Parts: sequence; structure tokens; C-alpha cells
Amino acid sequence: MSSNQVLSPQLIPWITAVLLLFTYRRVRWQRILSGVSAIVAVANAIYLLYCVLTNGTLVFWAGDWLPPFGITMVVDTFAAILVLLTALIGASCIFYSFSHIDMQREKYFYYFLIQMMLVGCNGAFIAGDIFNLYVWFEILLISSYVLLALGGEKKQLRETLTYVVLNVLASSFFLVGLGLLYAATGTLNMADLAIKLPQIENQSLINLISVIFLFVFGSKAAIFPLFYWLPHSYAQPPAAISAIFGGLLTKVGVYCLIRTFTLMFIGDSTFIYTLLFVLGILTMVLGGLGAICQYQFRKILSFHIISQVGYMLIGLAMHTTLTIAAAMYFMFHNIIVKTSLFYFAGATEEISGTGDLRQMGGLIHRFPVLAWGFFLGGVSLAGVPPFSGFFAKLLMLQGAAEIGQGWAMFFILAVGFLTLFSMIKIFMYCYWGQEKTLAVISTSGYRRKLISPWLLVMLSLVVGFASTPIIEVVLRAAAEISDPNLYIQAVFSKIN
Amino acid sequence: MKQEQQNSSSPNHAAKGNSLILHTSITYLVYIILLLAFFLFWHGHNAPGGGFIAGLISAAAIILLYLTFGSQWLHTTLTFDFKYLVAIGLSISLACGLAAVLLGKPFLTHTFTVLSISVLGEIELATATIFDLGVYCVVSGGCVVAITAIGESDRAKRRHGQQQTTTSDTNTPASSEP
Repeated sequence: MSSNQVLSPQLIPWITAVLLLFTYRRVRWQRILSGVSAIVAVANAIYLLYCVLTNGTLVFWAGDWLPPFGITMVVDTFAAILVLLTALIGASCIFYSFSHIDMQREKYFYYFLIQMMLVGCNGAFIAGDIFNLYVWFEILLISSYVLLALGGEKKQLRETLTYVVLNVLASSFFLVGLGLLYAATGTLNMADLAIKLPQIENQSLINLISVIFLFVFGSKAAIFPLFYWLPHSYAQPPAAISAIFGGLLTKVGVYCLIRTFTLMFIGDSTFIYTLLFVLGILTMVLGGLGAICQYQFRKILSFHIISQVGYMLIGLAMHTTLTIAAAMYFMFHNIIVKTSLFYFAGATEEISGTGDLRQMGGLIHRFPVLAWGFFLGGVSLAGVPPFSGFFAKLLMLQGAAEIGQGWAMFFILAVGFLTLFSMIKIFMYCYWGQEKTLAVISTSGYRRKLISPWLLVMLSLVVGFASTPIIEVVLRAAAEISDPNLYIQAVFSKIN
Repeated sequence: MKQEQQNSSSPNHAAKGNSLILHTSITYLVYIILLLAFFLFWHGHNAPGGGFIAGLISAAAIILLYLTFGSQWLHTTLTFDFKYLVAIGLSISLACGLAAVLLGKPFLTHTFTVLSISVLGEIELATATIFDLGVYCVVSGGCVVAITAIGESDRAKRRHGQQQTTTSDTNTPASSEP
């Protein structure tokens, strides 16, 4: 069934963005419009998820052009959950920004750029055509370039340059990959590709193309050895921006990896899955180790983004329904918790006026709400029950045990310790212990800043407590992903 | 360098700096360029042409004026804020897509009709043209905003450099931030 509803998660931020352009001089209007649209987007995303769960995969054919010629947009359970999380994170970021972002940025299209980024994210999640995916990626990236550079501080510009260069490189490889794909099969519709790619005789060519796509999505998802840009560039901009980047952007890359390597590149699977597995393990371990030697608050968190992407990658690499479900659960958990931790980091840095852990100390005495909020987020990230992080790891361990991957189990547990170590390190240095005289520069409005992160931490707790129904949904999403025929049938349902 | 600085401080330095030939010919050329843009726009969506390329060409016309007469002239003559042109263009295209939704069709569904007028012959009228009009506004507005923004920041930097001290060489490219 074709329905415009599929497009609704994109149209809402898009319409908002246009309205924001008209009112760009009035910060008050910008805030009201963004806030209202954020709430509408969340409500809409919940409804969309509900529809997908009751009616199955929804497909939209733009302008009534049928596949494989027209543009298709597909929402299955996986995409619907991610759309919901995008809306939630977008809303939390917008509300956090009200008390965090300075006037100068607000006047310079800040909210507009956030909305455009949400358009790009949602577009990437629901694109059913790989060239379309490229376009949404570009929308997302161009907004992210400007958001990173906005403010024009010297450090910020330096890191933005690295970020831009790497992403432009990856995008050009994306185009090369698309060209090869089109030359090999004559189509760019993902469902059509899923049919045609296994029929190609020269499967090593397909392997080559898949490695190009692995490079492209891998550099956006920050997997080993393409992660070097991430920790520095995410530590520079204001916390609201680095939170939405850390929570969402890398996950878009992971989403694309999961989508393409379960739908399209499944012909010669052992080679590519082994590669993914090794890269996943390396990403996990090096991300965790990288965090240990850091003393900058947000850099530690950024290294843990990398480490967690590794978990998702090995979930994909083991490619059973259970491990893919675990990878998805990990993504959802990580989006929520990581964003909240970045908000806590932002609030802490604003209070103490520095991002260096060694100069902070004893903030728990004066700011207990902040400190305990961070603590809960931190242990959730490390995987302590009853938070969502525990169930993510549990699912992953179950999946690995099912197919007898002892090494995977070992690394899942070992890197969990590294995460716990880093979180405790931040907690001990920054909040626990003697109060340092230098700390506490500005406390204005810090309570309002804690609303968004606390709600997200609570959400993580709820996801942990309600894990039975949520795991059911995730398993359903993974079952859909594991069977490409469902996707193909949904896309071509109007023709047959 | 010093010469250039003095020039930049006078209000219409670009007009002084540029040659008379450019100055004179541009006043006529702009109409031709805009006419070409107009032609390409209507040549439209089924043939080479359309909103995007027409937008680029119109932007080129405005930027040519900007280069010839300077930013002062542009700000006093074209007081319109081109950022709104982008917003208007986006809303036209968006409205074009949403109209289909209101009629119960998939987003961005287009339609066309062929009118036959006695003198002009058959004319194809397509809703895609409206969408193209939006694209035209976005592209032309966006280009002008981008180019003027680059020009302004350069001028601001130069002015800033002048204000500091005459001895410090903030203006030379060597000391600018890498």
C-alpha cells in the first residue's frame, strides 16, 4: 500500500525548516516553532511505528512512479524504530539547546540546520533507493558541516576541516560505488538490486563493490581504521551539537551497513562477514583503549562511541537473527544513553568552565542531580542491570553463544570492563571526592539543562524494565531484516 | 597593498577599479543573460533547461552586477534579502508536493494538460513547472547569498585588519589562519 504517511517523518521537519527560514531574525519564533514541531514529530513517529507494527512494511512510491524506475521509500520495523529515536533525540536536542546554545548561533540558522539534519537522518533511514540514500546522506552531512563550523572558533574550524575532507572523500567513493553498481546491474533500487546482485556471474566484482560501500559507510560510522576523525571533531562544538552527532550520525552509518549487508551484498558472505567481524573486534577494543588514556570529558565519550559501534558491527558480522537483533538493540540503547551523557558533559563543562577531568572534582556536593544522572547514564552504557545496556549485551552474548563464537563473547565482556572503567574514572575525577576551589564558574540555568538528559536516562531505565516487549519488537525487526524477500515483496507489491 | 586598502575604504571602489568597457557593457548584457535564463526556464522540464540551470544563470547575472558595481551598489539597489528568496522557493516546491497529498495522491505527483490556443499552437502546461519555479528561486537565491557572504566576509576581514594597526600586517596572506 502506497501511503504518504511514510513521508511524514520527513515532511514535518522539512516544513518546519522552511518556516524557520522565514522567521530567521526572530529567535523567539524559532524556539516556538522548533519546540512544537519536535513534539509533533515524536507523536507522528510513535503513530508510524504503531502502523508498521500492525500493518507490516509500508512503502511509498514518489509521484506514483513504480519501482524499479521511480523513487521508493520503505519503512519496516527497523526503520520505524530509528525514525522514532531520531524524533526523540531531535526533540531532546532542541529543548536542551534553549538553555545551552548562545544567541549568536540561534540567530545563525541553528534550528534550521538541526531540522535539515533530521530531514537527512529520516531520509537515510527510509530510503529505498541507494542513490536516494546518497542524496539524504549529503543533506545530512552538509547540515552537519555547518553545525560543526558554526561559531567559528579556531579549534572548531581545524577539526571541521578534517571532518569535511574525510566525508567528502567518503562521499566521492560512495558515488564511485554507485557507478560500479549501476554498471553491473543497471538499477539502483535497493529491492531490485537485491534480486539482481546474486544473479551476476562475477561475484568477486560484487565483493569489490561491497568493500567500497564498507569503506564509505564505515568511515561515517567510525569503524577501525577510519575512526581517527571522530574523537577530536565531536569534542569541539557545543555539547548540544556533539550530542546529536554522537547519538545519531554514526548510527546512520551503522544503519546503512546493516541494511546493505543484509539486503544486497549477501552473495559471497563468508569473506565479507569475516572482514566485518575482525574490524568489529578491533573497533571495540581500540575505541575502549583509546578512551583510557584521555582526560578530556567529551573525548572519552567520543572514544566510547567508536567502541560501541564495534559491538553493532560484530552483531552484524555474526548474522543470525538473534545477533542482528542484539546489534539493533545496541543501536537503540546507544542512541539514547550516549546523547544523554553528552548533555551531562555539556552541563558539567559549563559549570566548571573546563573539559579537563583533572581540574574538576567534587561536583557531587553541590550538584547531586547532575552527578547521579551522569552515574546512571554511565553504568547504563557499561551494561549494568536493570538498564538498557545490560539487555543489549545479554542479547549479544546469547547470540554469540548460540553459534559458539567464544572470542566474540570474550571481547564483549572485556570491553564492557573498559567502558565501566572509563565511566567510573570520569565519575571519580569529576564528581566524587574533595571539592576543588577552581570548580564552579557558572551555574545559571543548570537545572533546566538537566531535564533532557534525565528524561533520556529514565527512558533507558524504562527500556531496560520493559525489555520483554521491546526485545519482541526488535526480534521482529531482525527477522524482517534477515529475510530480504519480505522487503522485495513489499516494494514490488503494486506490480504483482 | 596600501593602494588597495585606500580603495576599499571609499564607498564605490569597485566601480572605480573596474574598466569602463565592463561597466558599460554590463548594463546591456544583464538583460540578455536574464532573457537566456527565462528562455531556459520555459524550455523546461522535459528538455535541456529548467529551474536549476535558469536559477544559476540568473544568479550569474546578479553576481556580475555585484562584481562590476560593488557590494554598496547591490545593497542600495537590491534591498531584497535573498535568504527569503530561498525560503520562498522551498515553500513553492513543498506546496507543489503537498498539493498532491491534499488531493489524495502520492507526494509530488505531477500532472499536465495541453492547451491549444489559435495563434500560439499547442502549449503543454505542467505542474512540474511550478515545482521548477521553486527550484529556480532556491538556486538563484542560494547562489547570491553564498557569493555575497564570501565577499562580505573578505571585506569585513580587510576592514578589521585596517582598524588594528597600520604596522601589523594582518592583511598579508602569509599571516592569515591556515
